[in-house]
Amino acid sequence: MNYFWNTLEQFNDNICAVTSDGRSFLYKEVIEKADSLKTVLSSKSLVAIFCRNDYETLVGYVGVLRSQSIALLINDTLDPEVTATLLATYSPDYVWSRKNEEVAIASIGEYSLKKRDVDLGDMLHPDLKLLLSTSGSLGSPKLVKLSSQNIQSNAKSIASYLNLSPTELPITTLNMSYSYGLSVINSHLLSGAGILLTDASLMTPNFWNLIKEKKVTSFAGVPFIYEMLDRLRFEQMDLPSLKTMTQAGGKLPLFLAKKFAHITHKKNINFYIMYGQTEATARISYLSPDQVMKKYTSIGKAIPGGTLEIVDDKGDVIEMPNKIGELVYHGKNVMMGYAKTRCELSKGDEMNRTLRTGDLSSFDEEGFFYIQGRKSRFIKLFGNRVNLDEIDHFLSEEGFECVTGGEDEQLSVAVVGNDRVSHQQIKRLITKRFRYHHSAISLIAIPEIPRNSSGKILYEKVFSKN
Amino acid sequence: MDEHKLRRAFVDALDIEDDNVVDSLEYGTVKEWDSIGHMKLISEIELNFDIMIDTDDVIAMNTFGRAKDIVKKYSDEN
Repeated sequence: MNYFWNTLEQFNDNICAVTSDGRSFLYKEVIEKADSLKTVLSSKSLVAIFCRNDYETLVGYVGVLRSQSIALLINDTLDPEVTATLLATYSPDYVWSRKNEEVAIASIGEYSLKKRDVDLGDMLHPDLKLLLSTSGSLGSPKLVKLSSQNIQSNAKSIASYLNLSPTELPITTLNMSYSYGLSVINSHLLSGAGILLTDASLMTPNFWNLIKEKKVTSFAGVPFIYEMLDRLRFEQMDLPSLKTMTQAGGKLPLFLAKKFAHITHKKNINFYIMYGQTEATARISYLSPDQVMKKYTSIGKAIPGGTLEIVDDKGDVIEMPNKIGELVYHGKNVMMGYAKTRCELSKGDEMNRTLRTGDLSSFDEEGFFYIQGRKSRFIKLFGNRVNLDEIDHFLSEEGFECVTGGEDEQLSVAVVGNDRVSHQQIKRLITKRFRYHHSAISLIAIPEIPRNSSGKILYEKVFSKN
Repeated sequence: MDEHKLRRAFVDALDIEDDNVVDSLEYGTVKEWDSIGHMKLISEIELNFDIMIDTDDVIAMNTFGRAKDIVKKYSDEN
């Protein structure tokens, strides 16, 4: 099979990368640098890439894709403790990063490739190509295993429904180690388009100057980015080159979905509301921009090549519209499975192209899908999936009697007792350990943790909105 | 312009110590003042000073010193 990273030569003279300091690189330049890394990697090894949105990260990623090796993408700004746990758990054979304490075997700019003294000589599954974290910043070293076919099929599908061509130039808004951010990179490489690589925040003049100067055509945004756009009065901005905006990484609050449906309609910008999971490489469904004015609460329909269905508690497919059940996705982009240890990197596909999303959903008479809630205890904070059980576990280990709940963009912690000091401590612990901004965390005092007769915690009793 | 009030907005919105709020305190140099903190900060300032800050000023407000100038400008207009 021809994967896009092996056929990038067809775009040799197209611009591949533009950096925030104004440099630009052709595909052939990126290929040459990437292949210089490829040649020093020994056959099938695991390479940890510390990701920033810069040229060197892109080169490292493309280099690993074009080699026999497997990429483990880690956000360069991830908590050092969490990073150390990841490295200890998966023992990557190489590290591509800006840190220079060891002897480098290759380097480009500030980045260098270090060989680590692990030499496990174990088997890494031949289909395995990429490892991503499910939660971005959370402490768990659980990873999603993706195959070459997963990456290829999702990138191709995205490029097709977004109508990507070599004239596109997206600006990065999300880290490459995050599946949504990476999907932008993959789908544009597949299309021979350029990518403006920057870590500049939307809250800086630099970001907006880059869009204007470089004539950026699109960007991606998680709900928080749309909150920022709203705050910055995006509707008043004049950005003539901007033709496409995508949204994923959690449900957009209704008023924002409606507002941006209208703003983009007026500005003649294609606005794609999308849904996905890292477990499906990135994308699962999208709402076509011509539907967004009347269906902005919907996640649309399955991406090209995939199918969506809703199953009831018994696992039977629901054929009737407007009935709620679990959303199940089938497609070639469904991961091989999870890994919790290096040993599990030798295992092949365990999913058989089927993903139970854990999201409760329904579809309308016209076949558009709607997310209605979560089956399991997850919320989204700033685009990252947060496992509430994991936070509960962490806080109980720290000696607090409390439970967590909440909704997207709002983590609530119910603490037994009304001791202000412990409330402050809990907030600090969570922001320190998980790096969630304190403004997304609220604390409430409860007399005790309500449980049913069999000892199960009654979360709905603690966090009911009524 | 009430500098003490602005200082308190920084302390509350960014959850940092009062001692750290100096003129040279800059966006992106402390982990608390990231884009999320900035959103909170702008809301806090708008609320406490009863002003509406323009887009250009929202993204230009990158140090405590600049914040003082910008808030002063709006306060004078009122």
